[in-house]
Amino acid sequence: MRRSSVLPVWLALALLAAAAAPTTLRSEERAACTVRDPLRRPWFGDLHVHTRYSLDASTQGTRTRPSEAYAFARGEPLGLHPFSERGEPGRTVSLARPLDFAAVTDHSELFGELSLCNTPGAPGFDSTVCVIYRGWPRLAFFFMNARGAPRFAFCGEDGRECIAAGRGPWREMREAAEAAYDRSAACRFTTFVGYEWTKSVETASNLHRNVIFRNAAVPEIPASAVDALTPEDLWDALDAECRGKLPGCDAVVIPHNSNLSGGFMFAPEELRSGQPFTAAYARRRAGNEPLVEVMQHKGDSECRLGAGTTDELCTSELLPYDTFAGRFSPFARRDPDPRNFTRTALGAGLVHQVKLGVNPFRFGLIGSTDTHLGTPGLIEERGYPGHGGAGIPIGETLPDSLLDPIEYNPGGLAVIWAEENSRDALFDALQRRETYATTGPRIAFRLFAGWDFDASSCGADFAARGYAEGVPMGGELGAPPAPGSAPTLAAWALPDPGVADAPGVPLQRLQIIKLWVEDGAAHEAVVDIAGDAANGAGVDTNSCETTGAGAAQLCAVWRDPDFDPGEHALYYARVVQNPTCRWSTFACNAAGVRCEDASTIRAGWEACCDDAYPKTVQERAWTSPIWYSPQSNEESPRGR
Amino acid sequence: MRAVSSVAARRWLWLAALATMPVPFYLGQPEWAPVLRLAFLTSLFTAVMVAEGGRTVFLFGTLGIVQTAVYTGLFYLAARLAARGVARIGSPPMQVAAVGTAVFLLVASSLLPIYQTPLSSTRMRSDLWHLFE
Repeated sequence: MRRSSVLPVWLALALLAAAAAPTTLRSEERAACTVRDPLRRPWFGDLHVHTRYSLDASTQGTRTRPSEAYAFARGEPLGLHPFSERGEPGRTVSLARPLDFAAVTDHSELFGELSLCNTPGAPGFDSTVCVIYRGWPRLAFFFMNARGAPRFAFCGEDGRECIAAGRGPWREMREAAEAAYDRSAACRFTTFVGYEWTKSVETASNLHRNVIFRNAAVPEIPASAVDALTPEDLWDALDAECRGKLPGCDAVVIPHNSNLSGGFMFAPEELRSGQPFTAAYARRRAGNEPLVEVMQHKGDSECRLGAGTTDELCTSELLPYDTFAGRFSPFARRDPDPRNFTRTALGAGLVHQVKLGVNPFRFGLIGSTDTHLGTPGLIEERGYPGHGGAGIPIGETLPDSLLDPIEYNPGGLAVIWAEENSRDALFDALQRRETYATTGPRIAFRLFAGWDFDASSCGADFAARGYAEGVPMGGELGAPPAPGSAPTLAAWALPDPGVADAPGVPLQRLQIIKLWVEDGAAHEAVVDIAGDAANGAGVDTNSCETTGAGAAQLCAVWRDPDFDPGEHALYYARVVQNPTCRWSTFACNAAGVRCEDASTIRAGWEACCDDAYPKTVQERAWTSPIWYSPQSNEESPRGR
Repeated sequence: MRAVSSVAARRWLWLAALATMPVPFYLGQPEWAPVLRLAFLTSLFTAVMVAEGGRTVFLFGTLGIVQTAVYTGLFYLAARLAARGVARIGSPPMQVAAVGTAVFLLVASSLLPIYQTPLSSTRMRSDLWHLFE
């Protein structure tokens, strides 16, 4: 009765929201999209993809070109190494469902060096470095990867030859992105021109960042870590060579693998000066880096049980080391620094905001694969072929072993809420942080914060009401409307429907994670708001058959019972699926490994029975946060 | 039959061990392979070190030289001890048989893929013939 009486009101609200939704401002020539939803849709994609132009891909046999990577993302099959002498691939992979968008982001540091080493007659082709690169590529991976500045001698004076040669791969990447971008009204597939800035400090402490450009207006040469030595230098280069030079040029910078950063990614000092953050620095960082890639092939960077949190779900897809050095040397293994994790950083950002008036770590979340096979969106656990890169070299024949180090995983996806599938619409959403990350499944996930959501918000008009009465993920909650008001968080998740031969998995539970500042320190609370952690669902790790029921949808509204309007806070949501088999369990089962029978554990498969690694995984998704700032003279951007 | 001299026995055993006996070493990744492979990889790093300089190649080159020297010395001492043992065998044919059998076993086992070679671009496990690909 009540429902029917309010329905017209919400329909009107939906229409209002639709009418109020801004049209996408075009920075490029293209047809208007036939499919345009003012209440926005989730577009699934991958913003971290390597092809043959990355050293760590080429030295382990990847031949995929950027154009082939985009074709793969659109659903075409792709042949992978090992290749026969006649060039026939040893494996072929394809996506069951095409992606909506993708960006090839090869490492920009050695574009020219690899080009010269692979071009007979080019300067440097016969140099010691190039001879070793071609003859013993795995060895070259180590010393070329760690080279940095200055460039190799064969690059000539001031690295001139390599810088010039680097234009070739960069041009091919841009042309491939342009050719694959659907500028028709169908808007089926969007590409972004991008690259990876690959800086490490100390002993392989990772500061890597992906640069994603808004459109085809991009610098002639990408700024690499050879020339732009710090993140601040990278932002300077983007200001000088893109935003300040080319009409329509803009970029977002997306840090990743903070889990391997040795505490440096979210350190409280500027890298260039070593000085504590200033308000100007914090403002600049938040403006350049509105997103962090929280999930990918080399681990989950959200949080780690025991590293500043007691959250029981902070145990998934974690790497057992603090930096890349730990991957290659047992002597360099250290437990990860709590500052490696995005949750710690989000809390630290609130503390910075209290001190500086600006939050340097106001970032949203995405996932991606970081594939080094040129296979964007290849996230299936079953039949996972490894993602290469710093993984296991394949060689001439597939090794009789797991195809990736057991601590790695298939990576995740980036999901963007946008009105249409065009570069401008998606890029705008990246900038306003209306994005979320998944560990692979195409979970649909929304979060709104407002002051008056209630149980009735979980209806067909969820999004209309969310936009009309609140702010979406990535936004900033305004002032309380009245004394005693408390934020209400409306979260909604639908499981991945899957495909015919691989149906989706039901959801287990939906959570809100709240961070706030009290007495100068960040605190956290994790609250289950829907679903049931004890729903009895499980998985038989021998057959990988799932058992038990789960939720076909989860939606709930949570009112913060401990809200203090004088404290800085943020909220994000997390949803987890019922347990399923991890990729390694599928692979070990297929190889006939049974841990109770030692005779089945062949050399190369010992990791299958390493109790340090779980046999199951709870796939999940995380929304970008929504921030709340006490009303004062502090800066608190209200979204774009 | 002539007896095997202590020097000859030592040299045969030493060389066979250097060429075939798997040892653990680290050059960016840990391997189990003969000292001969370690020396080969070290020479590649050294070539880059000479041609290009650079902290990483210097580190790996030095690491390789030190490990090669240590294993070469240890195998020399082990071969000397073994050669003394061979000398205590009274019968010359038995001396030849002992040294020959030891060398044969080392070489024969090296023809199986007993070496762990993650630094190889073609195979994670190698035998003697594929150690230098």
